[in-house]
Amino acid sequence: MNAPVVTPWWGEFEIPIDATGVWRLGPLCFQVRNEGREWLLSHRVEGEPVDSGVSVTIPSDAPLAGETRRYCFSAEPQRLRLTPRLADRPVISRPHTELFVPAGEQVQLFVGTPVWLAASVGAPSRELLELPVNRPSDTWFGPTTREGGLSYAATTRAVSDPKRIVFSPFRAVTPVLVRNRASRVLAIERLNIPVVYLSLFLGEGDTLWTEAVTFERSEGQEEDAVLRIESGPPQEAGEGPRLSEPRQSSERNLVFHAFNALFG
Amino acid sequence: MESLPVANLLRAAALVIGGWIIARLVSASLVRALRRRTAAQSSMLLRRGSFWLIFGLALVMALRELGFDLGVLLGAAGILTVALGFASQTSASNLISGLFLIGERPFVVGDVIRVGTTTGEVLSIDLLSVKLRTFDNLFVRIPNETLIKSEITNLTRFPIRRVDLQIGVAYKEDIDRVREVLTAVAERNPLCLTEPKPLFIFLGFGESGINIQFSVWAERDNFLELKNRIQTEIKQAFERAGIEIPYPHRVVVSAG
Repeated sequence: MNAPVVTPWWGEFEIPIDATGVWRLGPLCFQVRNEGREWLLSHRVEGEPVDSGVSVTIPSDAPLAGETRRYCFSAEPQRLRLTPRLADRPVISRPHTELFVPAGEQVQLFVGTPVWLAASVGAPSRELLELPVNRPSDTWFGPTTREGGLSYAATTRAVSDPKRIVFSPFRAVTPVLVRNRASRVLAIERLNIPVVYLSLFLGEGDTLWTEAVTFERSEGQEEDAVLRIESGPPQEAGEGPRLSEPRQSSERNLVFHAFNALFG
Repeated sequence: MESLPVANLLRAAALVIGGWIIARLVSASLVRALRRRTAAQSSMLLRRGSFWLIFGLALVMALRELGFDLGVLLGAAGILTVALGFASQTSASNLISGLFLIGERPFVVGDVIRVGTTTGEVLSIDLLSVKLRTFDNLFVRIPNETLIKSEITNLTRFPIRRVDLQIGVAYKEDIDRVREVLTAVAERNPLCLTEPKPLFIFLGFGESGINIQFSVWAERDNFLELKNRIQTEIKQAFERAGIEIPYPHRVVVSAG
């Protein structure tokens, strides 16, 4: 694996009273102003979606701009905590190049999905808001426009060699093992990554990882597969701490609508 | 009528007076007992219904004491029933239509439906009619019989909806470039669903320009917001790209 170069933007921060902290995370400008028992949080999109820079400035003179929310407390919160979190809907990843898994074969892919920012204050921690660092496009995933679910769309290199993973402070990597036990080749044009069932881990070099998942497609299944979620961080990530819990609990061996869902 | 003994007259009078008092007492007690469970209008109907039922019985008994033949009354009641039957045809039709609507479930309470030119949120599906609230906050009552016979469009049955945009561009424009610009606008807007893909249709050659339909999909709740935002973004993108949206053109040829 390449030595990652990822600047972490998450953690605990102290913002002095009457001071503002500014986080520029790719295209997102996130500001927090401490006014004692009132905290103001604002955010706006300033840059292009491809921006990947991270800068944290505390204190900053920049005035608050964009959508602003005001939070009131009975006692002055001391510290701000920013936590990365996975998306709040499944992410439909489209490999840059359609890939094919022949019958009886399996392939290990590494797929990136966008992360969210969650802001909380005080002890015990109280969450104030969460928002996407780089809001992905909505998309529909299902066999027809009547059946299916609302998801997010993302593109991915879907590399099979972990040395070729390009890490980003705003994307989490999911190792996906695809097993095709059917007798026909499996064409993967889109892959449904069930991030709502996954945790977020901190890997070596401050990289972001989720549990490894396995999609096993059997005979007779066209677009469905049995989903298995491994426990703990994947071996490629090392033994880092868990940063956030799954949003939903999943069943063991869940039959999942995993592939394609092309529209007629 | 033969002259009646005084006793019969007195009994008849007692029946009428006693029946009136009992009817008043019973109807008032019923209403008091059920006040918390019934609306004001239902209480009034209950009071009147119970009063006239009991008082009516007392009147019939008094008429028997006075020597009247009840068969005539029954005959009159029969004729009245037939007349009521004819008069309530529409209500019966609405009632039966309501049962079919409930069974078929083309919509449920909370859905937004369009019937003819009326669009609104379904407030209730009742025995004889369906009540809607229009978006300008008006109350509309539609008889069930009308609904069974009409085309109903349920705007909220499915989770995603297509926004159809009618766009005209000048004849001089490169259609492939127009398509690229429109596709880029759709890709940049996060509310515009990536799948199903936006649809580009060359509708035809209009009077003053080329007519295009550009259809994009949105989550149902974002329909209006996407429709407003994307049209603004298309206009801005056309201005940046120098693509002309034509005004109506007329070529005037002078005679002579």
